[in-house]
Amino acid sequence: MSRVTDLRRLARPPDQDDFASTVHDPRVVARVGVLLASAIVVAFLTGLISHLHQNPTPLLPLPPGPTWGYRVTQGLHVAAGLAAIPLLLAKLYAAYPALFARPRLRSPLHAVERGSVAVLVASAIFQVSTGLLNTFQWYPWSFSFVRVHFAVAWVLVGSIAVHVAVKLPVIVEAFRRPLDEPSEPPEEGTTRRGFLGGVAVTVLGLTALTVGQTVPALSAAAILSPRQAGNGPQGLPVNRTARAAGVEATATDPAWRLSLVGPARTVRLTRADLEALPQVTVVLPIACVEGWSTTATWEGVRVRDLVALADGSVDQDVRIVSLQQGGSYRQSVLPASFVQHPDSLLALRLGGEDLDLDHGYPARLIAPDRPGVLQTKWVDRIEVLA
Amino acid sequence: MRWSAGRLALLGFGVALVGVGAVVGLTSIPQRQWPGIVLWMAGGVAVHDAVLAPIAVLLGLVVLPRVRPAWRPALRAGALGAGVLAIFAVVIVGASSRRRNDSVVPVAPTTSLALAGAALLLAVLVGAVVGSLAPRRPAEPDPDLLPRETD
Repeated sequence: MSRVTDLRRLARPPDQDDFASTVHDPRVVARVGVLLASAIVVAFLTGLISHLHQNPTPLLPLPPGPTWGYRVTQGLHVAAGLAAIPLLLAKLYAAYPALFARPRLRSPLHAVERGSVAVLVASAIFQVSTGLLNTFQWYPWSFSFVRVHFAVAWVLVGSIAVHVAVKLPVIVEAFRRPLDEPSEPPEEGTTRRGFLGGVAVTVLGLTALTVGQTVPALSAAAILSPRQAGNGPQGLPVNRTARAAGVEATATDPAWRLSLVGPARTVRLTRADLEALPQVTVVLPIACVEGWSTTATWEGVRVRDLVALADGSVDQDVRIVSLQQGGSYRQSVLPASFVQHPDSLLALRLGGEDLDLDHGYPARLIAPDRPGVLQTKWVDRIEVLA
Repeated sequence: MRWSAGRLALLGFGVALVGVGAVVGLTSIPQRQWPGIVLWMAGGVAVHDAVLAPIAVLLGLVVLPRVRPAWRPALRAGALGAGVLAIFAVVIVGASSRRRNDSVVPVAPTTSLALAGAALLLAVLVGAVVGSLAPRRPAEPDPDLLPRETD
């Protein structure tokens, strides 16, 4: 093809028929679409689990086990979301010629179909781009990420279902026809299978360079992830520092006392008092909503022992309140099933040392199968809820 | 294919899920935040349709026809990888200048992006070599030219 021909083709708006490559074949579009939809559905379902952890409902109580549960589900959530980036680019590239189909609108139903595709594309790009930025703690917008991410997730999954329903005949036909059928007209060097293989390699490569933020064996390869397992004070990444939380002075004040607020009385304990209580050592992961997680050895006092000290019942939920004066996560509620769990601790030490100030000194909550943002740091008081 | 009951149910299920998202959004997100959300929604589509997709089309139209056919699948995949890496580069560089503590973006952006770029280049080269060494599929013989069986 000559440069003059190229320029002539570029001088006018393209038509769908201008895109003759076999990579735009419905057999490719459908297969990439299935992979993309799978990644998004995995992210959606694991996201629902995270939402339930942070917004518990009696209808669907989450158990405190397995201890690695949240680590796996949230690790999958972010890994699937990241895998969706190349899959989405590949899907949009493969299906791009449909944008130039003529006539633009054949019927009212066709208009509705194109409108639903616009919602699908907009919500998909929105979710993966803002989700990626969130994992890097960069928020160049003025809306609440958590609320918007949750609402748009429903729109995205719903619009995928609508799209699949509308395109079902094309999808079924695409999977019935052999993938290796010679293209028409013949296209030297390019095959549908080759394109799909390239997409697979890109997805696997990106996963290999990011999943190390939660898979220790791949930590050294996690050069594109916002965190690396084991990288941070005492070998743990930090989300919010003591300085950012405004607790440097109060957390290191020798006058600090932990308040245990029971149904009938309040007990105040110094850190020395806490160290004198029976100590328990547990190995638990700390898993963040942004996808990173690290297993660590924690030492401290069982939450249920502290509840008993305040004459509380372990059948009640407890509220853990931080020294922080503000912020969305200055307090958290620990459901009764977690209170009863022997691995739920008010941790005083991490890896055999006193907690680093950025990890919650003088005391923090650590419980199994729970988002990191709910593992309240710099604990001021524990309240047994009626 | 006709609109079977299952297909209609899937359509209804999808519309219901979109409706849930709309209700959740309208009841939980303050009105003052909506302009920003709409801007990001439209902006993402605009960036794709006006920037990323035309670049991809240009590459396909101008570059691919001028390279050896055996290299094209690897180059096409490499372009996809480069697009992903470009997105990560923007985010990593932006986030590293705003990071809240040393455990965020722990690897220097120049190091991480150079290593990722080298890995991408290596993967493309390996793909091109593998593509060059792969045996070409023999052309289908024309049945009219096959020797006819004789009695």
